[in-house]
Amino acid sequence: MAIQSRNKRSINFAMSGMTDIVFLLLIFFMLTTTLIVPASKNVNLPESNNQTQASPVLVLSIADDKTVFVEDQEYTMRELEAVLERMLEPYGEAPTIRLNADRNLVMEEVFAVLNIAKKNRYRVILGTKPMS
Amino acid sequence: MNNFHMSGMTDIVFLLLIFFMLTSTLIAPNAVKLLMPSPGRAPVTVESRIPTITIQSNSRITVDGANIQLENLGMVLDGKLAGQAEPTVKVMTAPNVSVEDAVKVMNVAADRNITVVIKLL
Repeated sequence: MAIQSRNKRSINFAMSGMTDIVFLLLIFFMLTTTLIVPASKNVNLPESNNQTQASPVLVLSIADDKTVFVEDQEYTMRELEAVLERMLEPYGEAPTIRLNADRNLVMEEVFAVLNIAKKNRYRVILGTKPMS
Repeated sequence: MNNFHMSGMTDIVFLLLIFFMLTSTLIAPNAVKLLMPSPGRAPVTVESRIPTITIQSNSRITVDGANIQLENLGMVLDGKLAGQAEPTVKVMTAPNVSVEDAVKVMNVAADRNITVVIKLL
């Protein structure tokens, strides 16, 4: 029986191309996830399901005991304006701050930050966590 | 047997890819926009049609002076803002209202795509 098919096809599955793409995607997602800033201080955020498109350049946290943190550094309310001015200078006009205020904090403290923001034309978003 | 077996590595890479894809979409920035009134932007005639929600120090909520429960707030806002192109409400909070209570009110408005402007009483 010398009948043979002429067009023999390779039955191997060439995986290398797909693996290349998967690797690229993996690297992309690894880089983007590390760019997301986690809640820097142990602040009990209020719950909300709203999401904003604004991408904050700085995280400002106010804990239950009214201590103020910019990123991970503790400051007093008095120093705050100067600190924000210094840190937000490279970001140009109307940068966005994420304010992580503890849910038990009074609004007076939030407005203290908002007044600074209004004076210097910063945009403020209030950090929340998804409803459980 | 000098073949390079790629399938095991590909399995692990796939798992990692799925993990990072899921975590990056789950950590969407959950936040509420805080807007403060800017003087002289809106004329007074337009401003008068904007309902004012007041949160008093005892967490009581009033809309344009009438007492309202939080559960009914959405319904009341729907009624007051029906047919407006850019629905806006003003939220006035007492200084000692907790952030949680204020966010609850802002959630009701934000769920309905209503712009919230907040102010201290």
